[in-house]
Amino acid sequence: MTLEAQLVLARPDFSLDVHIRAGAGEVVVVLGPNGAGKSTLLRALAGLVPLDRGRITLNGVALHERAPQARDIGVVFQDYRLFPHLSARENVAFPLRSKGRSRAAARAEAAAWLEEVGLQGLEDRKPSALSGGQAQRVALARALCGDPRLLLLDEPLAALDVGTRGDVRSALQRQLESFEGPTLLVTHDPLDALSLADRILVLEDGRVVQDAPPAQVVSRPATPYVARIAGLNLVRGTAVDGVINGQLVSAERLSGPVHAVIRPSAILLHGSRPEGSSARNVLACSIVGMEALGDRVRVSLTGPPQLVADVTAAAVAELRLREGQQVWASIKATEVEAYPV
Amino acid sequence: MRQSRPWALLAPAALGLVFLLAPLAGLLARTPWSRLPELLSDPALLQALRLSLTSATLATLLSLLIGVPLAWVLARVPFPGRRLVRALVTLPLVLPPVVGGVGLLYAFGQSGLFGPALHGLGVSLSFSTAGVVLAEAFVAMPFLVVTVEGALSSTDQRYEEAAATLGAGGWTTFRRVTLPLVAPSVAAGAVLSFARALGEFGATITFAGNLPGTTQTMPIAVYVALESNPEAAVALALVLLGVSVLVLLALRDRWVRP
Repeated sequence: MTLEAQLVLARPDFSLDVHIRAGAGEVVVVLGPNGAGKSTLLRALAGLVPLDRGRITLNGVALHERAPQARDIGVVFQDYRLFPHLSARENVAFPLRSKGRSRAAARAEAAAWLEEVGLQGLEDRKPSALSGGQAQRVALARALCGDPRLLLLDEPLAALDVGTRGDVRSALQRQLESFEGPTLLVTHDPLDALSLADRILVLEDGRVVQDAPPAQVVSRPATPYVARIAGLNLVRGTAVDGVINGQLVSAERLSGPVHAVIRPSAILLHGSRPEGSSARNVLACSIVGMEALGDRVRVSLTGPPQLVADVTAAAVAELRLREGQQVWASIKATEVEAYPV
Repeated sequence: MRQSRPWALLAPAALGLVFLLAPLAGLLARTPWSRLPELLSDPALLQALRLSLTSATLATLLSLLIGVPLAWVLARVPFPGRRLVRALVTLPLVLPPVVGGVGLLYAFGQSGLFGPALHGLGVSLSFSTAGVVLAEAFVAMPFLVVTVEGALSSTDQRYEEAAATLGAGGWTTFRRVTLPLVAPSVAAGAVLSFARALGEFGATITFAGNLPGTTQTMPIAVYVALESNPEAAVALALVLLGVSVLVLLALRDRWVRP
């Protein structure tokens, strides 16, 4: 069961042009900032918005030629869209009834699914009497019980408060593990992406900017957006024998177009030019922003390159750091982790 | 210091209220309470009441059968001239019922546009109970269409999309999702239509006439009785008033409360 899709949509103010592959049992998380086109991508796969060009095949079957109701997919919408006039059980039984299952069989199967997602005893509740987490589970059970060949989830955890989110996330993780078809999950939350994904597809402005396993996305970010999520500094440029943009020395002696990441804690700040430092990189810059992060302080520095450095509160006091101040940043070449692109 | 109010409005307001309630008071004042049981058990009255309830019910059912689909088309199917069609549908709301009756006569009457075709099928609508139902549905259906169309337009199509992803085709989605979601408005529209059909006078007497037992509905019976037997007319009117109060009660959640 493999999904292969080429989706092209052109709107006056927005365009989407992506290629997606997802294998059987694989969870592909589409991660991107708001407005990147994540939901549109999902709606196109579901057949709720027409493609301008492209094709969607699931195990060789051309889905794009089918109406939404004939695509055999399960969708969990961000707002769940549980039918307000139907009980939890009837909501879950809905796709079974659509498939022509008898009322009794559909109800029995729906009850089993509700138990599966831990909602036994709530079968007769209307959606308005369910909590956010419960409604999400009903939506998931409803999407799964029709035995879909492809599962699509649009920000399935976004509507939940922080307290219930963790529980629902681990429950969702279990369900996704036992689902045999490909799963596409859209989110703007890095934590959801990192904990649920087999592969992350980073979408920005309607284009895929990175398609890699989670570990690689966080260690080798392709864009500043991804680097920010991973909590890293990203420098993009051209290297000549390990010197990036004629400015930053890295340990690997690469040449050609490169990305380099630098951990914020690997950047040391000094009040005056450091003498006798072994660091190969010493940059003069000024502070443009400061933000407390737990026991550290994140200091934003002017570029080029634009960097953030994490320093201790003691260092802030000792160096009397404040916005607008001139400082020196030193970075060891071994901390500038460059990779070719 | 309290804000000063335009107290001059109080007098016309009171006058307005008195004006609206005066007929009710007049009716109740002239009601022959002691003779009421006798008057209400008059077979002619019961006949007219039965005819009215039957024909208003049938007119409501007819309105539901063709009015709900019409409302759905107006709300969900974009087509050129939709605004014009929408305006035409509401025409019976503002059209003098007598004009409607004359129109019905020249459309479905024996010498009307579709009369010969209907006659060929052995159907004669004018001056029959079926004609009463038709005349009532003509004036009552727009209430239903307008109410249901408004509800359909204001409910977004999120649930219909969800139903499609769950494998439901167009008809299943309409039957199991769309219709239940607007059910309260369908019910309210049906009650309004029923009330309008029950009170119908002008189109009915023009198109269906005044044949006791066949086309003489309550409002027509009231009008006729006023000449010959005013006490009976008051009794009949009282029954209609009672039905109206019931309708008002049925709709209280929608229109009476702010």
